[in-house]
Amino acid sequence: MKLFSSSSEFTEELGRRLGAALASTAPFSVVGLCGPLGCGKTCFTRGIAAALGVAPEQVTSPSFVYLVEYPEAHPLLVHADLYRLAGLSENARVEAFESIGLYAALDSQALSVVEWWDAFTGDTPRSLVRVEFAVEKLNDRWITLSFSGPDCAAASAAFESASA
Amino acid sequence: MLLLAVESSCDDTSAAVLDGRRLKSNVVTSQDSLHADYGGVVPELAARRHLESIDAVIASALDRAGVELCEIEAIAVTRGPGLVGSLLVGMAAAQGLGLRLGVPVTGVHHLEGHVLSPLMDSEIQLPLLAMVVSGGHTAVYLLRDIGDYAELASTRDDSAGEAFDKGAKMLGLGYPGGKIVDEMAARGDSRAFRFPRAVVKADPWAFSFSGLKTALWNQLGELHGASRPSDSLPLADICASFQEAIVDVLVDRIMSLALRLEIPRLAVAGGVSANSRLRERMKEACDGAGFELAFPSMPLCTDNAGMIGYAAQRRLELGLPGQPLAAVSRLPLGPVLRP
Repeated sequence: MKLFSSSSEFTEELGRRLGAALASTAPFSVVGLCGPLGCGKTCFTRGIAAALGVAPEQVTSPSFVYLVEYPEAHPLLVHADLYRLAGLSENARVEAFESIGLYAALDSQALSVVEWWDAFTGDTPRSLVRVEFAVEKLNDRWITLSFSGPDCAAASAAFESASA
Repeated sequence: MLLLAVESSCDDTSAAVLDGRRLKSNVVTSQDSLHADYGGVVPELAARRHLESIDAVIASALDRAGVELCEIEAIAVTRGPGLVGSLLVGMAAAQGLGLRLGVPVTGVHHLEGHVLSPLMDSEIQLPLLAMVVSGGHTAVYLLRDIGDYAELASTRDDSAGEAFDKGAKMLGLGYPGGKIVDEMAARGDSRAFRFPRAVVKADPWAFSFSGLKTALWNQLGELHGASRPSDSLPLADICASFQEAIVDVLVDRIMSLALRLEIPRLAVAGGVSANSRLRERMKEACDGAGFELAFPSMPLCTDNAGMIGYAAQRRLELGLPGQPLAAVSRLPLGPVLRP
């Protein structure tokens, strides 16, 4: 599914719709966000978090802290960022993801939103929404969502009806 | 009283020994040189490395202080905010030593360490406004007294440290980005390019740095579009202009808050407080306004156990309770107050 956003506000709104769709079809394990610096990954996550009951101003970039938990979210939200680990070798990444608690989060009941998902290495999550951001120009972005896994039909239908 | 402090909230493992308020040793495993070997942004990794180095770091802190382990009378350890797995390594080490020595172990808020760090080398008095600027945090706090804090402003998206690092990454500069941008900027013209000074409509005191990435990206696109080869980019001018945009916002917010609250004492802490332009601009602004200003010494800017021990010591002197010994990912330093 390919969507167009010309503002950070609308990117956040799309995240909110996805968050609402995933909350209604829980358990859904992982949202993987891909795209260059400044494309809207954290902004989109803020929308997801808002849909799960987190105050949007609480959501900041976890690039330096790697992984934060939002226990006030329903379901529990984990926001991870692989930015500073993307340059590591595959073996080092496995070690790093283990240390920051990423694998534990992916195996838990929490909804995990992971920025710089292309740097991920490990078992493919049972259910995954891959969100790819492409910068068109200035504030214009193409946002492509791909749903996979056994729960994907319900989640993608819920998202589509929210976006209709 | 001899106090051992341990900090492991993110990348660095650190231990320190204090005698009262006086720092006797402060050991930090920092591996910026290793990052450079990878040619990119590669942190020393969280929990596992902490586990490998924590015993040696504590032993080294005791050794450099000339103190035997059995002389330690209290232990302080960071309990959050931070990466839970990393925090647990420090907390387990602290609690294990506490049991063995039969001494109290107290939990410390990581940001209390940062906001009090400027007091370690200066005579500045409370109440004051303290701004923490680092990779993980960007916020301004009102410090009414030790243990009595309120959050006046914080970032809505990226931290100031992250803005420096990601800007440097876009420009193809190395790591750590903040230091390189600072050095390049010294040779550039800060008025050469225009970068946004963002204001969040719903919260005018808040910081927002994420738009800077887009602005820099668009600026680079324009320069490349003018068919300039990337090696001829005016890097010094871009760095100076980009840095000025960040520094302008930081200086503006804390000065405006100080005037609004009529508190003429300011402190700036955290990794970005080492930035030379921020120090220069803060000094100019405070000299002009007749405000007092304090910065931590350079080794106390980035994460370190010395500031954690100092914060614990200041609380102990007043008989204030420590933080509970439970690791937490997010933890406010005080209630939100918007003047």
